[in-house]
Amino acid sequence: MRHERIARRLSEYLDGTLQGRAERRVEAHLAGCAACQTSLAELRRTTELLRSLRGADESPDLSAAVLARIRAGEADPSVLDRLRSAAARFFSGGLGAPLATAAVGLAVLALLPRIEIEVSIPGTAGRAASSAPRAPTARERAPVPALAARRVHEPRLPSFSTPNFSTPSLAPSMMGDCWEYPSFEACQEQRRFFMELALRDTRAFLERVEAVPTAQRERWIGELSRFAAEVGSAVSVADQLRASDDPRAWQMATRFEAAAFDGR
Amino acid sequence: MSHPRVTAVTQPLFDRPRSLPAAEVADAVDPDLELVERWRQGESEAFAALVRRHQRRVFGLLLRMLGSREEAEDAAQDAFLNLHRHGHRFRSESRFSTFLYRVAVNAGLNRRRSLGRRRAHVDAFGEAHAVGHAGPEATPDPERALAAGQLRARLGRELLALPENLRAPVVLYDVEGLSYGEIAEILEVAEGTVKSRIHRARQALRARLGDLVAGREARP
Repeated sequence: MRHERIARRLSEYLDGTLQGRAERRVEAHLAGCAACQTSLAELRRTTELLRSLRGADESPDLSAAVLARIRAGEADPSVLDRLRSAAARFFSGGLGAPLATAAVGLAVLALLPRIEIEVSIPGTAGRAASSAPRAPTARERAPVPALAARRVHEPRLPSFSTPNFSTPSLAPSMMGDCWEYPSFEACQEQRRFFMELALRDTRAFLERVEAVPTAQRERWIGELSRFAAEVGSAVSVADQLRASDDPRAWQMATRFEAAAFDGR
Repeated sequence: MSHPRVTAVTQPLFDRPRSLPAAEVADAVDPDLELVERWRQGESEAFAALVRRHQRRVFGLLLRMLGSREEAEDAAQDAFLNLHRHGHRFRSESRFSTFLYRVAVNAGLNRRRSLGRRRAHVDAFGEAHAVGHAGPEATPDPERALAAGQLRARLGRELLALPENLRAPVVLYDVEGLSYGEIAEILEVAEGTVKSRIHRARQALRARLGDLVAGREARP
């Protein structure tokens, strides 16, 4: 475990931000650990490559377009901002800020139907109100095919409209790795439960994992981590597990990281 | 330690850069304050100067986050508009560039969110970079320029393949040269989180870059 602890600090060591005892411990370990030496060398090479990207990309000059959009009123404070600052002025004093926020909250509630449009489309605020010409954004200048390629792909759980599992309407293959469960929903629900447990309470999560029969545990974790990756939470789960002081959690964190990575 | 053979091998590993670009400038006076002050007094040319001074880094960061020059340009414009709109919130306790980076990261995240997750741009990114965007240190030698462009394209793709929360820290640290502390401030997470995410991001990149980083003899 000592090796793993050291290995996790190699980046900090490489960056020269470890000091004193921590630094000496890493150096002492490095002297006798070929794997860590390789890691360090490869990490260094990785950072060198990344550094070669610094300033590598010429930016178009944005100042003219930005100033034109400012003149067109696009950077004007939104209704919310104006309310907030007006309220702050009104309540200036010791309790100014919280009172102002509360006042804005109330005002927003009262005005909700009227300002809805401006609130829901940030970035277009003032655009409609102003008649001044506006420099076209890069996106607007883009040819149509580029726009077509930019369809929104939202990650969604596979969903089946009316599943009827008593008389299986889905072939086992369509159930994916949920085929053993009575229903697809039950399977997804259970995974969601465990994922949320992992995010909320690492210790409880680990206990539940231990309760899974050893023979099935590996596969179970694999399925759970893939599920977490599908719903976009694998990295959060990994973060949570990493933060634990239990080595079992760290090992599991690796699985979730790998799943997040594969899911990309 | 009595491992003379191993020690001999590891010795060169220890001479890593001690002084980081970010650390060098951390204590210096914020070079943007004068322009910021003039902008606050209503001088729009001062704001334009700030845009010109920072657009390259803002654009570069957003290019790494979004993967397409077009999206990066739009997001960078949004970032500067937001800066103009919320500039009064800037307090000189933090550096102006840190504040601007935070605005830029948020603009990038907003754009990503509004577009949803897409993979199509990964390819467009690679092509755009492989040809014609050789960068400032481009040599007259077309072959080398092409190789450099391809390497950058590859790095760009691998960065894009990282999960979002790992990508931003490693781009800000290794590509942009900010410090752990600044990144923690920009991303509004603890410094320890920044460190561990940078490490995980590098480990993931190292695995994905394979031959490019494996072994010392692989250096070009």
